Amino acid sequence: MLEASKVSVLYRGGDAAALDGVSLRVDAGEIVSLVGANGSGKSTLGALLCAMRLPDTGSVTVDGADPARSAADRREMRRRVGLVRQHPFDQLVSTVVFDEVAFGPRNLGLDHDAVRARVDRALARVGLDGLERRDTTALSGGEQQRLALAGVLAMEPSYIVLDEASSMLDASARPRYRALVAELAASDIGIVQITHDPLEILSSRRVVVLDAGRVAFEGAPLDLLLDHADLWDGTIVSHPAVEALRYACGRGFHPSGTPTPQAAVSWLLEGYRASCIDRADLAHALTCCEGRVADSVRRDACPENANPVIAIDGVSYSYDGREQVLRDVSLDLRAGEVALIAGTSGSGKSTLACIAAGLIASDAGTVAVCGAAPRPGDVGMAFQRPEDQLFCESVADELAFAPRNLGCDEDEVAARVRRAAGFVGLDDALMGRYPFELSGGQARRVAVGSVLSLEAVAYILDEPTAGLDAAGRDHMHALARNLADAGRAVAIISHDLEEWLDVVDRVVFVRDGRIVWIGSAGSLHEDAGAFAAAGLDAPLSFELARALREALDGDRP
Amino acid sequence: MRLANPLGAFVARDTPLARIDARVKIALLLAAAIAVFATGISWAFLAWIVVLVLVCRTARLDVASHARSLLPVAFILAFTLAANALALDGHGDIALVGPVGIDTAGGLRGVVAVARIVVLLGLALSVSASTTPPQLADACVSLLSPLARFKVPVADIGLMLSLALRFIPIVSEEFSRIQLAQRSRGVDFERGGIVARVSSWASVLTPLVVSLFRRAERLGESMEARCYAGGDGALITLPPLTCRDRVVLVVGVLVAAAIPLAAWLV
Repeated sequence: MLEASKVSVLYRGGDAAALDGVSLRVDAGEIVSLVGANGSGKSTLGALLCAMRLPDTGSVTVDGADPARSAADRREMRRRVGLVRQHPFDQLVSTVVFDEVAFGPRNLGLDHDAVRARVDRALARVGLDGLERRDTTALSGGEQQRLALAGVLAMEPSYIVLDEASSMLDASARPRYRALVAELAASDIGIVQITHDPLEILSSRRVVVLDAGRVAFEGAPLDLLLDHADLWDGTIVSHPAVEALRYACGRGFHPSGTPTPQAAVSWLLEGYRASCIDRADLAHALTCCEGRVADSVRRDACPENANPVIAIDGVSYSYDGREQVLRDVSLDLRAGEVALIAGTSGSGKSTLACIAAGLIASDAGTVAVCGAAPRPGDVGMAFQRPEDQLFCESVADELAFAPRNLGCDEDEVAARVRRAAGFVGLDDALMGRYPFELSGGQARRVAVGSVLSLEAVAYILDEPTAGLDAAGRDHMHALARNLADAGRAVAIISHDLEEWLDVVDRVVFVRDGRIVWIGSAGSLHEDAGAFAAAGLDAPLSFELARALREALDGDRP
Repeated sequence: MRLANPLGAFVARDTPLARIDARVKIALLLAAAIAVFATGISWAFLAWIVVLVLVCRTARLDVASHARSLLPVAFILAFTLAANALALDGHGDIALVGPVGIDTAGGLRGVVAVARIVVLLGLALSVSASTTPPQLADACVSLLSPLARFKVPVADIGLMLSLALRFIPIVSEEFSRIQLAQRSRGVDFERGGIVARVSSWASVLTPLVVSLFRRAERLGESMEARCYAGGDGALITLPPLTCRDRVVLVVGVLVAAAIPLAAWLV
């Protein structure tokens, strides 16, 4: 049993507690989800559970071992409670798969044969067997996270803490990761997963919601979803398929095992066939799965013939003149629209964005921004994790950096800083702060604001919500929409379609350097082949919507 | 988005050179470094060019892309050559304009100096491109291990070396990424005087250093979480050299000894 009892952790200043008298118990083979807004204390609790730090008051023990007792106990606790974190490059110590997994067992002082046996077992468990000699940096993001997990499994832990371990994964890599976590729990490993993902939360036995260092809720995930709906909506990222589950529960669905949206929709469909569920219920579940896009009026707001702000025509690009990244891509981005550019990693979407922004030159074809070839700064481009690019002494300087580079006078700079701050919602108190001491969500806003102060005609945001909590994501969604409504062209690069579908007007699928599908967000539901064409798995809500639609269409007179 | 492979980074490929034990490669590289400088100016030096070509072949080194990344050094090499070959005081064997002429002896000296650098660089790149950072680190640890008797923390040095090698491509990728991001915020790295340029690079180097420190801290925590204690880690004992590796070592040492000897005799 892994147990934290009445633990408190004070911040260095000592004014507010990061954790305030929290107790948590995890049994072997149990999956517990730890959720809460950024800064609620969940990562701190995670660090306590694997003895990465000690609580100021209270105690943490695992099967009798107490890390406060001695350094040897701390080490033993770290062996028994593994930790997997968000970014692969924060935890991979080697460039070779075998050595990576062997790192922990070697630290335990095991001999060569024992290390080899553990590495083989751990790699087989995560499905990476046979890749021992491979370069870790050449693995996909999903494989790297499974490798990180293998590195922990080789220590033969009894418990594992997953600190947003799936948050950087492609939507397509997540189902496999969830299945793997379930397998580990089935083999009697206790799992604590810190997550914002509603499907992961539903797959856990218990969910603990932290708010400002205290437990705000502890119970079954379905209780949180149904009986504390406000708390669920406020802390967990919204998901169309989960809405369908919630609706089915309202109509009398009682799941026996894990409450999944799939089970809920199957129950609705069976009930419909047995005539216990009306057509209207099914239609409502369908609306849930389709998101708000079904009744969107936005498509009319952006006429097809609007002048393109960015006109990309026949663009090709290759690395070193050999490896073709983009092949004859043509795309118009119009004022007032939000376009979603999606595709598997390595499909060329980020390169396309850099060419559209005038940051790299294409080999062939033309790019025009408002009719002229773009220079850097004409298009505002926020790269992934833009907060990594902050470097000034204050938030205000950070926002002023771009307009100063453009040669604006100080009055104009001040005006742009004010407008950008307003757009991303930074109040005056933050403007004098040092950018490096902001929280994750605030730093993201400052970084995006520092691009918005370019006052460009178009913006490209690469995975702007990665790693943010529900409130931070909602804020970014609204920001993208507001920018478009203010007459800018906005392109979002993301692999998470379900998240963006009710925000965007158009969807562009890129595969192997070509645009393979392009259409309005609404029409994506009508085109069954779109995802396959892009080499993507259709997201869960699309699959469920299709099943519901077929049932509704099937018996139409 | 993928960025260019940094110079000399390990390329995961099964080549003949990749299969040779890293200890042998490091030892031979050291032997070659001494022997190349011991080889005097003579026709025998051409043997080194043959060795270089053979080694690059067995490493299946992508010569064209490496040559491109060597462009910045090309300036220094050309300068070395010119400094040796040009005579400005009239003692040149071939007169060009007035007192300016070409000194053939100096020119030859320059050519050999440049050739030494090119040969050693090529050999070093072949070793680094065909050896994984852990192999390189383990081999260094193994070669340094006699020093452990004198309380030198060889295991820690090895791990540090391995991590440093692993971080090189990460740093170079991060550098390119931040530079692109700052260009999109309107920084022009080619505009203005020296002061303006230096301050524009601060916009890249500051966040780079900060993010590397953060990354190093998180990596350190992850290592602690996997029970890394530092210092007390046992030294990795590598298996003894195989027959083939011994043959390669002996042949390599013989070649490294034979070429300077031939140059001396010719």
